[in-house]
Amino acid sequence: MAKLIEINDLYYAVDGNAVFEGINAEFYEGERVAIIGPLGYGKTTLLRLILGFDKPQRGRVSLFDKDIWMIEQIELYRLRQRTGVIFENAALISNLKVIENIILPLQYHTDLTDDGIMGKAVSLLNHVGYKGDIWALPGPLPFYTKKTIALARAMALDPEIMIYDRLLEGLDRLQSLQLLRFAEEFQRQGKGRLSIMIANDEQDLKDMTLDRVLRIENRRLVQ
Amino acid sequence: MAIFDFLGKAVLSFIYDLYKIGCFIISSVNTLLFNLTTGRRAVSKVIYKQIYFTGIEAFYIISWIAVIFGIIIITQVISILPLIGGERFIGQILVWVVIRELGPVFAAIIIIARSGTAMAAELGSMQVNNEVTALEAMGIEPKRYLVAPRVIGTAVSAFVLTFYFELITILGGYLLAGFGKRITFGVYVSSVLETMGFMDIIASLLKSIIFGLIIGAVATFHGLRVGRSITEIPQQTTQAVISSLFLVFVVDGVITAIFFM
Repeated sequence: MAKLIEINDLYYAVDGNAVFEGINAEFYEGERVAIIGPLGYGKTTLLRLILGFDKPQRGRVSLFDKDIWMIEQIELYRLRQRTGVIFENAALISNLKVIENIILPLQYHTDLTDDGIMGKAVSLLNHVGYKGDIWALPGPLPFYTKKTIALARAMALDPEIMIYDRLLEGLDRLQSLQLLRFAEEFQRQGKGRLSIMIANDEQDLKDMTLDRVLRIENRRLVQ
Repeated sequence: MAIFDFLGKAVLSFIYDLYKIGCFIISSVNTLLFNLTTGRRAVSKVIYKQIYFTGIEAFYIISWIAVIFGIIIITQVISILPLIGGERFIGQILVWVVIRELGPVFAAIIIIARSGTAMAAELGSMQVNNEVTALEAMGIEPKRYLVAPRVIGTAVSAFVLTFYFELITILGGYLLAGFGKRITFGVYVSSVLETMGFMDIIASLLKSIIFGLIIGAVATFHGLRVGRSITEIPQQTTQAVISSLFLVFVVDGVITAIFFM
């Protein structure tokens, strides 16, 4: 199995206070891995470090076998295209309509025709059960609906890595089960796709099949 | 000494901001010019939207302001000049006042008030809601998708609005304030056209494009400066207005000096 993400001896501090020290981890294709840690333990910070938004003071982060701090910025953006992220607050682009949120990555990164893009975007929205107006602005939509749209957007480029940052936060049990079902289905469809679920508590993910669970404890990632 | 210390720090910080805004304009336009293909369709859409918002949607308000401004200027000119036998200077005064100076500056002020504030607040709110990070996570460069199209769209709009503002001020102003007075429309128009030189038009339009670039860059620069707190949005929006106005006046003075001194 190919290694998709590798973290070596990572040290990261904010204003002199260590958030992580000596983190080592490897994530392989086809895996379903959970990263668990209570609030304030740096789960989102770890996500930002993996995607190259923050630079560690020491250590190395490799994405698809490339050290993200040794490559050109443009190359890092290319690597990010192969990674789908669903943020905790969905982070839909507020000045774009629902359908335009899905169209954006397809229009930006692919050579598909406008009709092809539209067809794919509509089918992704159908897939996640979106039944509202595709030309509505996402702002006033319910939180669950926003998360489904964010899921569809992350799926658009058929990424090799999917990162779910507290996917189930703020949802009821039925909604959580539905989203987990979409995530499971998507994982099965992509051969060799790596799924990383970030959650506060292992209980949040009890309905999902996981290969490994990593915990953030004492500024380290432990199995 | 404390006052000098304070002033020195303020000036240095302003110069540093100017430097960063300059770099911001260069790098964002650079991102587009040196890589025309990446995200072309998505980026073009943002440029069109920006032109629509900053340019087309501003026609209504700019028409009113131009007409009122025209009435004021032309009433003054037409009421004073004939008394001193200076009818022949009417064109010269209008070219100096409207084309060379106030046309580009007024259009820029309207754009700052309408679009500069909107851009800064919009990008600020995108920052707070993690939308900019989401774009980056999709492999979309904010400079390419958010900044460059807004800067270019604002520059194009400023160019068109300035030309339109000047036209409405000169023609609309006469029709409402000067019609039926001692100076006929024919004399009025020919006087303006005879006086207007190539350099006047170039200076006016050059100013408008540079003002547009400045307004777009300053607004997006301050918008993206917002951190994670919503209270930073109004602070950065105000800052964007102040910096844009200041830069527009400074650059106006510099261009006027280069062209006409």
